[in-house]
Amino acid sequence: MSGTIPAISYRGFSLARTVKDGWEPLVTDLNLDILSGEVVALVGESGSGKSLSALACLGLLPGRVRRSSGSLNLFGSDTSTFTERDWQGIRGTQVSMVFQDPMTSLDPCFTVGSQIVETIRAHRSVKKSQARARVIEIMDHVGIPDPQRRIDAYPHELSGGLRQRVMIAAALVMEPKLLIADEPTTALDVTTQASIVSLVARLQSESGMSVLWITHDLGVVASMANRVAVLYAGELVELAPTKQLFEGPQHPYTIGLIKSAQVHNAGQPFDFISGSVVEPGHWPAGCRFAPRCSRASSECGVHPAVVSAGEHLQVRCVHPGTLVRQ
Amino acid sequence: MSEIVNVESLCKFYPAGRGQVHRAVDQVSFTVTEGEVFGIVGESGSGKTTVARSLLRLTEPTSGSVRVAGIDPWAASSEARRQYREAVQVVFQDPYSSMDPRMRIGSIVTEGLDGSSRSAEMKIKIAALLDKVGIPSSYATLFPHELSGGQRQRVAIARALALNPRVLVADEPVSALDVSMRGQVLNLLMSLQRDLDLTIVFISHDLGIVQQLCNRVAVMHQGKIVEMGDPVHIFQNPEDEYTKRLVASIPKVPSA
Repeated sequence: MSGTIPAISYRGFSLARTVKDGWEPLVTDLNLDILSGEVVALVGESGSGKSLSALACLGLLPGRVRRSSGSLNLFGSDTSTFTERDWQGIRGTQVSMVFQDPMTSLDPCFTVGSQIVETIRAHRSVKKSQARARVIEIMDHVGIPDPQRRIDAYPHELSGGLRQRVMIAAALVMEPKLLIADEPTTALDVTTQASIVSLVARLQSESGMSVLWITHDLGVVASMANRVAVLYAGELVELAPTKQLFEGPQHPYTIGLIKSAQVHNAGQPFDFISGSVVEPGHWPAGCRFAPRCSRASSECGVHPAVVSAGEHLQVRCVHPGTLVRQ
Repeated sequence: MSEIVNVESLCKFYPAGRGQVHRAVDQVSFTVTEGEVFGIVGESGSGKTTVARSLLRLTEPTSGSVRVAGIDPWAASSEARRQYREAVQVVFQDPYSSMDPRMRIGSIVTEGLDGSSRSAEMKIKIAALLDKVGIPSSYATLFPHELSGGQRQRVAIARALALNPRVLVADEPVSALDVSMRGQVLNLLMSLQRDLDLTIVFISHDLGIVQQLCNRVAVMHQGKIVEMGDPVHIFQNPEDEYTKRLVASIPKVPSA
């Protein structure tokens, strides 16, 4: 991990959406740095705000969603000053994104090659033939077999795994310093998922880019991230190096999430977290996880702040620790 | 224990142009005994959902047969077919698209029954069904969008139980749910199976869940069953090349 300026730096970052009578918070007080060359996993369930926090790094927030307070810096520059033109210069060249569903993020009417060529020619004035040669090169690099032929294929002619490789090729063709991957393997089969995860890990170690990997799948996280940030109901509840997070999770939600993803012996009951995820607008005033938490007490009626527990670990809980088990 | 589901040499071919055929399901045979949880795993395109659809009489086999409690739904008389439909019920993957958004929960769970959902008798039935799946009976007047994904999937299970089925086909019933919610629905299926002696055909791509839930499993690949037996044994000592690859690809969650 070299360099001192983080790729992404959230400081007190909050997002809100317009509702009938004002603003409804979606993400609150997010403090997180993704260092240069680091792979950080953003883990959370639906409504945790993980995708919105990532979309903000590309200036792609939905129309009704605004940054309500705090700041987001990309490579040291404050994004609040960015114009649409600034964002266009950044997307693809500095920050790229791979989305969940490669079928809906590729245009079915154009060949996959032309969609990657488009990315190159949006940023560089190169001849079509040069761009095409570069596309074949990057398609080969992301492990698409027979790229000379596949460059003229339409998205529907490729399998889900190949389509996601095309998306990765398009994202990386301008050699960005930061790749944001929003559940890139959720729509894929488990065997394909494994190959995409190892592909991104290889590309990351070759180029030294930073990766923000958004997922709900802790198994994927364990194999590739340096650090894990766990989000629940719009806020960071735990941040720790991956190994430490799995060996000694502190927040009851993290513990519940890890247990829910584990496999037990045949016939044993499955672990789960009782209740359901609270939606934005219905968050309790105190700890947002308290209604589902077995450790909840009267102290949890006050909204807890993030506390540092040890050098690399942060947790938002008044009853942290791994010892209390059900 | 008697045999309740019998699938024999089931084939479903689709025309793939230029005289080619796509063998979605190719010579699949298996039996399920009463009270068993039978898993079918495989990736998309392996044919697992086509097998489920054949069992539900939604996809007509090209050849071979499907029987539940001795009835072949494609050959049976209309009366036997009606019985078949009562005996085999389904829970689909997506609790968002498998319910009419304009129907109330009470009407959804009793749609398969005769009678108005407003009658006193039916209200008792609704309350009993919702109680079975751990949903408060006051939810009967709500609409699907007012429930969480996990609650909706419980309602889908209540709807399936309304006709006292003998076989429940569950096609990826938890893959659309948040990780922390999956256990609730899986435990519910487990306890219903025990309490009602229900037979469950459980379609999934998640080997971990299958290993914990199912008595037996069939691994499907390209329309064929490549391996079948005790899930713990198969996933620990896979013999087929494809099963080996599948087992190796599962991301492992380190124990906390």
